[in-house]
Amino acid sequence: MVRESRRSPRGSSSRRVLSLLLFLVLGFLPAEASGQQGATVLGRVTEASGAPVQDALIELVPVEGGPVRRTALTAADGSYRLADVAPGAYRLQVQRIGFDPLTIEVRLSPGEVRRLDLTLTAAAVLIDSLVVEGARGARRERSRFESEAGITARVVTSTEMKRLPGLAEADVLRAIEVLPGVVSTSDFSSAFNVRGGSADQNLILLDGFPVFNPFHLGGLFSVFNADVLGGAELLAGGFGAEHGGRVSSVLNVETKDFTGTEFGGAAGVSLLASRFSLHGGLPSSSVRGGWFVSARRSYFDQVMPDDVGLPYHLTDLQGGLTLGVPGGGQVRLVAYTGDDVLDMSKRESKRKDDSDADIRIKWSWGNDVLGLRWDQPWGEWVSTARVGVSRFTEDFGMVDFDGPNYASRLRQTFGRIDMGRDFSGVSVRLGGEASRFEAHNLFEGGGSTFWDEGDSGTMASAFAQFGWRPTESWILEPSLRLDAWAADDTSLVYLSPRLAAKRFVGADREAAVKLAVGRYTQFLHSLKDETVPFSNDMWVLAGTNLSAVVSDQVQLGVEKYWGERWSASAEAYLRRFRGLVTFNAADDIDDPDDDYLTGTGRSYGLDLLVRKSAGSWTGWTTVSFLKAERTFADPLAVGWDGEPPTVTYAPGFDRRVDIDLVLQFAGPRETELGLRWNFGTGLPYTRPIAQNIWWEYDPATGQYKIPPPTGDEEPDAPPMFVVLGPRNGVRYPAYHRIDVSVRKTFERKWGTYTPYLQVLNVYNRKNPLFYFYQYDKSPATMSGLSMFPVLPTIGLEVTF
Amino acid sequence: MKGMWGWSRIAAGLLAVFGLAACELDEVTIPAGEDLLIVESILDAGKEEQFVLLHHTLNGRRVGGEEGARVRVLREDGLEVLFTEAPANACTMVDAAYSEGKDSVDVRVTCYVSPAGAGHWVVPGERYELRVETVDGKRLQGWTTVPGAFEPIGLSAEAGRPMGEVGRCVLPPATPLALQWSVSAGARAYMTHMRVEGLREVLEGSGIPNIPEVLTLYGVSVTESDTSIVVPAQVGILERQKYDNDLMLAIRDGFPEGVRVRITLGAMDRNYVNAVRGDSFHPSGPVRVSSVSGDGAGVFGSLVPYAFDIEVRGGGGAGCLVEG
Repeated sequence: MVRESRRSPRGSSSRRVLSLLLFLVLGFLPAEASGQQGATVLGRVTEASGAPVQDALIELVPVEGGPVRRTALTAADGSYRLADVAPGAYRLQVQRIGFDPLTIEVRLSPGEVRRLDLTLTAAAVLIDSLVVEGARGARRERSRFESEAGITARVVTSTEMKRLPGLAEADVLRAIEVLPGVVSTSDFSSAFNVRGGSADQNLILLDGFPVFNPFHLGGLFSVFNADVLGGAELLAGGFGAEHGGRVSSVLNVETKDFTGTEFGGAAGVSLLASRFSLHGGLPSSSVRGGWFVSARRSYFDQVMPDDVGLPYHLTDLQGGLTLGVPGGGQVRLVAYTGDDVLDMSKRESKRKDDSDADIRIKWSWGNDVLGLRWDQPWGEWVSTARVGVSRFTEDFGMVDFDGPNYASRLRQTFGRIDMGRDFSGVSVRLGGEASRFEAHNLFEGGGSTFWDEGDSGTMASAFAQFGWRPTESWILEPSLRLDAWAADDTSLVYLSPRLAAKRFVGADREAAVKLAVGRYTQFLHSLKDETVPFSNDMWVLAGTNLSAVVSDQVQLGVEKYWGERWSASAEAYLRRFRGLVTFNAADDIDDPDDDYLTGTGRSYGLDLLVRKSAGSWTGWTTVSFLKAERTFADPLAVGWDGEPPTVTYAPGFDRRVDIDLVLQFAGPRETELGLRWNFGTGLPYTRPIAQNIWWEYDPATGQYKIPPPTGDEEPDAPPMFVVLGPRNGVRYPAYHRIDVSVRKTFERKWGTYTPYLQVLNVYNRKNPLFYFYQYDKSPATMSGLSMFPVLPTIGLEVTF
Repeated sequence: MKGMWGWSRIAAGLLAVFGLAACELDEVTIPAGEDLLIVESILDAGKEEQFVLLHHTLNGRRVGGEEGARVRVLREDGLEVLFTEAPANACTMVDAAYSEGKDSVDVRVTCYVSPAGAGHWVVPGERYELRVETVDGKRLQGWTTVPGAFEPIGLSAEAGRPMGEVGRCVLPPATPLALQWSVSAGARAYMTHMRVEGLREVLEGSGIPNIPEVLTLYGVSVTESDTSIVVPAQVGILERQKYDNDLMLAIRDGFPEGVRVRITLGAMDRNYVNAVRGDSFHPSGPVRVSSVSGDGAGVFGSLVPYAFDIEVRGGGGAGCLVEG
């Protein structure tokens, strides 16, 4: 069903003046080839019940050739907008999983604004989700390219995720690593750094709800089950005022929408874990909706004997429920809980020989997320409200002794509402959010408390974001965000203006130049040592002793599409950071004001991307150039009192050149091939320049001693200190490796099964993880540990 | 935050676990490390004789000393103490295990000692400066402010002797000893140094392997106002992974009968704390925060100690704590 309205074109001299100013800012752009004013098609896509349909693909296909085809994806409220469409005759096609395709004929006049509200009918036969999924990511990027100004959005679909070779099973965070501007420092960590930002400066969202430390096994892989994920979208920079709380990037991890689908499921077995998921639409004919549940558990602890194996397991439980509500709204429940547990507390003191008995420890950590989202149209306005709670907890303890015990907690309780609508040529989005953060870190033992810091803080934010098309060729997105933070006796208020501008080049609107500038703020920090690749975050809040991070950023880029198949982009950026925080390794234990060191940072670089999105062969290649710096007081500087000296250094993620090549092939007979090649110049590290014997003062005797070795074995060497050279003054060799994957899907009456083989590091490149320097040898030596060797893994996925 | 003691140890443990999934890289030879002068000196207010050790960074399997240096410690009131060279064994003790076997290191160190008969010239609360000048012109300098005096609270008269003397007391087996003391002004932390002798004999037949002849464990009480600890339960918090779990359990709730224990409570200054806290992780080993400047590195810190011996046996004898 179609409802339509038309509006006559208008002109405005003020638009031209502003356009001219921005033209001067962006400069050197070629004159537009077409002198004809474009038309605009906009509207909403809903179900018969009035509920909005998100991610429906809108295509304007020219009748009998002629003008350029245009595409868009509907937003969460079902809205879409195709601006500056060349006049002519088109077929407007709408596709969405679970609905019958809809096609209508339209003829657009110069300057016309045509509103087409479209209603989809639930499909009798479901489209193969994979077919649609495959093109979805590229189309969403294209849609953002056509409708938004400065944002840098990169999408990885679930199909691309599964074809990407990974560690045992598909992993969204590993897939993110192959996007431009993203650096991963280690095979052992799926934490990532974007454009010179620290890992804790990435906002990771699960269906719009934050997840703080979404990693298993110290960062080896993520907590997200790829079977229920629709995809992930990384906003590497230039994001508008609607996003706050982090300064570097926003990663939206999205679960599939199972609204209207038949009951089904998926299961998978890998060398790491087993998982399953069930999903379906609601059985009621009066209420439209869908649901899913998924679970995953590893089995190291079950298959290996207790006294031999690692009593470690991970669990993930995830669920979602979507319900249509009266008035065309939709309510969505998002739930996740997951844990890692290393439980050596039940071990008996077994002693087969003269070996030492084990220490009994229990160590667990995990995330919990519970959120409710409500999308509702109110006439021309559409609102989205979210409430939820997200928390991360970690506990470590020795069960036989009074410590050491370690606990870390972070909880965010939040509510948010935003409303948007389109006026003539101007989209408006207004919103606000309030979050309560509670963090507590405890490290104690031996009757003493080394660290016991509990903080809470409240963040209240409001934003206004505008999208304006002053002419056919320009998109302007000014936005403003106000963040107020209150913690302890500290109140901070930041006004963050942001502006994005895009100018399309050429008559086909397949190329554009874009500029984005803005300020970003962040009120929580992770104190995790980023030189240790496998560790969890320790979150602390801005307050009396900790500053907020403020980052001013500018990015300038060009983007070009060649039809539906090829696209390319180049973006340069500059970022400055204030208020970065790290531990003070030489703090005065009695002085709470010097626990942390506050520093600054800077990064700049260039990200290049070429992508092929259609055809049997798809893939992309990225080349990222980065230079990052951090400046902090140096706690290792000798004997400073008062103002310490500072040191400027390249942080551990300063990979100057990072190249990714991803090739994916959808072959005949449901065969899929994947290949990834990654090359990165060496990461910096601090090289020891010498070692000295660790003389220990013995107050009982008044002498200095080298502590006697423990055990009867011959000691390796006396204990020693290392003397370090300039911080991160040298670099590891270049990192590179090739990963491949092969998948074949077999169809049966009950569903499909897909065995797969993945081989990481095919040519067994020994990429160094750490070097160990030993100056006590003659001659001195350097040894070390490498990252993953050649690592084949197999697995099986089933859908039904 | 009260410091982050021992994070490097946890990180090192994680490294060991995850290292299982990694592969060793080939060992290659590299140029020798830099030759740096290293100083070790903890001024101990409980002793008349003070030591300054000078040594060098490793050069292969050899550690060199630094002979002929001019070593002085100056007090703010003008007192200058000139240290003289002494035999290394006057101030050092090296376990024989390190001088035997294939990985042994030829450890040489030059010991400088303060003049005998100078009395207790290291005074709680005073500030001292270290100056070292070597024969080839290298200079090292450092400062320390000795923490203020403190006293144990509730120790019996036999156990609680004046600072510099060693008290004695008797503790029944399997009995925890709750120690308290007054605040030492300016202390960054307190150590509880516990030296246990006789465990090997007492636990013979228990099946616990590798019991050391002398077991030395440290307890730490951080901040100036953290002035209590329970011995032995709360001692050894950062050293439990070094020893057999059953050995640690055997002394968790008290000492077995027959062992001899020396407890030294010590108020530590900033430099001493920074030297041993080990917060900076590096895969090649712990990193020490140096507190001397100039042509080298090292530590110049201070300690105010309080020591007493414990005899662990049943029956009568002077108890460690004042009864009631």
